[in-house]
Amino acid sequence: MIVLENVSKTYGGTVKAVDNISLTVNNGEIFGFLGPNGAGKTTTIKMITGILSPDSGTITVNGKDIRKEPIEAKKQFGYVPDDPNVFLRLKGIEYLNFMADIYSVSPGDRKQRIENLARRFEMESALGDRIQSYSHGMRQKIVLMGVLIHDPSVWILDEPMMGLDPKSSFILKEMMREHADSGKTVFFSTHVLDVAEKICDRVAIINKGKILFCGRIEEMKEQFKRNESLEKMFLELTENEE
Amino acid sequence: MKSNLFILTKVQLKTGLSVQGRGRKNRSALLIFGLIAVAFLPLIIEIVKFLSDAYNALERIGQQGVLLSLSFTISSLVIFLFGIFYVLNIFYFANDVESLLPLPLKPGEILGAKFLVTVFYEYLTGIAFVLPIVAVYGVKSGGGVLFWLYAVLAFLLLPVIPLALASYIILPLMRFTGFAKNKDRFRLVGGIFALVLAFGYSYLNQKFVGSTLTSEGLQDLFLKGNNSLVGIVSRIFPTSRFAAESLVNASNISGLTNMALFFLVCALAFVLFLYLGEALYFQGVMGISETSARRRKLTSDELDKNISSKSVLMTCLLKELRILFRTPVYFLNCVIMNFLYPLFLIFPFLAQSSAGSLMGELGHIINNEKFGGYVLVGAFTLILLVSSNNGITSTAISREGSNLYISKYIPAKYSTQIMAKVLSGVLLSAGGILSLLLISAILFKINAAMMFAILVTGLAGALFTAFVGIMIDIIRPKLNWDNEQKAVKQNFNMLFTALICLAAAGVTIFGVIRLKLGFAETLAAILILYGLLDILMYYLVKTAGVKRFSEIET
Ligand SMILES: Nc1ncnc2c1ncn2[C@@H]1O[C@H](COP(=O)(O)OP(=O)(O)OP(=O)(O)O)[C@@H](O)[C@H]1O
Ligand SMILES: [Mg+2]
Repeated sequence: MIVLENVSKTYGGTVKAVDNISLTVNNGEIFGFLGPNGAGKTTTIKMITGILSPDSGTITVNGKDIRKEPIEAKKQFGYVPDDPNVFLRLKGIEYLNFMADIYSVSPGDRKQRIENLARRFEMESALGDRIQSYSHGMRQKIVLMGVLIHDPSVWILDEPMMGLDPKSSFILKEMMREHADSGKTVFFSTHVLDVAEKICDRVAIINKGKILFCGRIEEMKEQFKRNESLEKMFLELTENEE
Repeated sequence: MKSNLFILTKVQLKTGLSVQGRGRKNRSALLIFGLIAVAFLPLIIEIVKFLSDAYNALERIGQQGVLLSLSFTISSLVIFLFGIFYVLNIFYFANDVESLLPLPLKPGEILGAKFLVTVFYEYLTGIAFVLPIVAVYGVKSGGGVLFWLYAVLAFLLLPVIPLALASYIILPLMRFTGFAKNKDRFRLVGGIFALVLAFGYSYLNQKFVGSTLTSEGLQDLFLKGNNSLVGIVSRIFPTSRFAAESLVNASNISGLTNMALFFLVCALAFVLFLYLGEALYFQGVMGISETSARRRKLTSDELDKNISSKSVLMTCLLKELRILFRTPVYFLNCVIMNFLYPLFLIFPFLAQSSAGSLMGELGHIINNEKFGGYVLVGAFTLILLVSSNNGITSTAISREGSNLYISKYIPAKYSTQIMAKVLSGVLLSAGGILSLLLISAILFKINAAMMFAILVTGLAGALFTAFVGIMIDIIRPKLNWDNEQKAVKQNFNMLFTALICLAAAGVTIFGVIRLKLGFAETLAAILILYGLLDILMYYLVKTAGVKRFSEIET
């Protein structure tokens, strides 16, 4: 569960990237975070994960405040950043092991999970090579594996499908569903509205740092009093804001 | 062709020279340069004084020209050695190569532009080695307009020949050897090659100069007068002779002919370079990839070996060391120097023919108990300087670059992550201490007590430099870089750390000499003083450092 209350963030004193937003992401749901380029999605996610500190407001993950108990809060989630270029000089296996050490994964679990994930994402033959030699999608996969290896209860994913091949993105969606169904939390941002429409239990639409809508897609349709696609409604919502 | 060459050169200079971004940072960089200039002013005055004394002494025997040829020769040499690095990095491994290759440009245009850019960079070297000497010579000898004109021409042309020579070596090497396929590996091989070359060159020079300039030979030369010594010194780098001769004889026709010859040789060297480039460049530069990959499935055993559990501190330290050792720029600038500097120090001795006796004498002094305190503080200072110059901690945060955010979201305490970086610095400095001990044990046969004292004081000093470095890098990290070179080489934090540690070393030496401390007293004084400083710095890093680190936003 993630709770944001009245969170704001201004870059360099001028660009108000996130403007007083409040959100609750419940256990057991996949929550989609939608919005045009530059809307403030990545900024919000960076504040939840402790990379940026909000100018005002509070953020808790599973009840732990990211500012007051940072280490405890950080243990609750796994994070896939929008840029998968991590520690390029490390080998895939070394990166996974680094993450496992940081999140103190037991040696038994570690091996079993690495083998399992490598098989599912078809990364077995790449683990011994440096991340530098990976393609964009492979880098995305190794970062994803680095999250899944410590089995966090809250998943925070910034455009996780970007660059993944159809099979991997299918597997990921399946895993997101399984994770939410087991009573845990998935929070992700995306531009692919078809995907959001199919797998999200709830969505929030953000534009220019403000939340325009937050709720189930059916609720949005009721609000629009029409049975339109998410894409149409999204475009209309973000257009009207001048 | 001409306009393309011009545009390319301009663009490359612009992107290359915007070292620290714009605005406030630029101004602070200027301020820093100003401060450094002021700090070095006394030194510069000293150098000028020394040069003018040397001029007076040499003038008495008609050998003042040797100053010029010496400066041209040495700077040619240095430019050549730097040139090997520059040519490799700017011609082959620069980030812009990939974006230039698809453009409809001739190899000659790309290379010509890159050559000119490199020449510009080398002027910095020229300023250091040529400017003071030429200025002193010009003023002292009352050089006329022609002298200054030739001086400017010589300065502008000086890098051409050494750079062309460096290119003649690199161009075929990159074209015909298989090394070139892997950027990383070749950066490393190239860097080490340059180091070996530097050693080799200095060794040969020592030998050469040593054998020609026996006291009889020297006297003979001096007696002949007429600046004939110029010829001898210039033999080390033959072409710089023309430049020196032309300045020495600026007032007569020989000045003009020598300058014309110099110009001609430079032009020839450049044309030959372009010709070689047209033939070899594209073939050599294409197909360079960042790294190699095996794409082989790990066996169960290999997997087991790779997944041992470690504490957070150890895993962060391991990550730090892996990146340091595997990134060629970091390896060459931060790691390898720790182990090689003792070699640099003893090299001049080894090259001397009478090395044996010199070493023995030095060994006597070093092992003389009377000087124990001075020897210890000398070794300590050396360690302080080397470990503050390796830049391991003073660029540790900067080196994270765009990956710094990872430190922020993983559930590892900031203090632990910072200490892992400090530890990596101390560890590699310790390697440097051991290599110093090893070499001085072999060469000077220093005793066990001294070795122990150097080891413990050295560790205390290394810890101090590591803390100073990390603190400075936390305060003003340089995170916005697109190639690793910028994180270490164009990072002022390394310089700041070195200056602070230099000051600390100065105070320490001063204290030991002033108080005439013996061996045991020096050992105790350094341990207590730096022990306290280390504790102080540790708290500072733990409190203010961690707080500031948490505020860094990318
Ligand atoms: N480091 C930064 N410094 C200054 N402004 C920034 C910075 N990062 C983002 N911004 C600004 O903040 C606003 C929100 O950016 P953010 O990255 O959160 O958008 P986003 O919703 O993730 O967009 P996208 O869909 O393109 O990823 C934008 O106006 C952007 O220009
Ligand atoms: Mg984004």
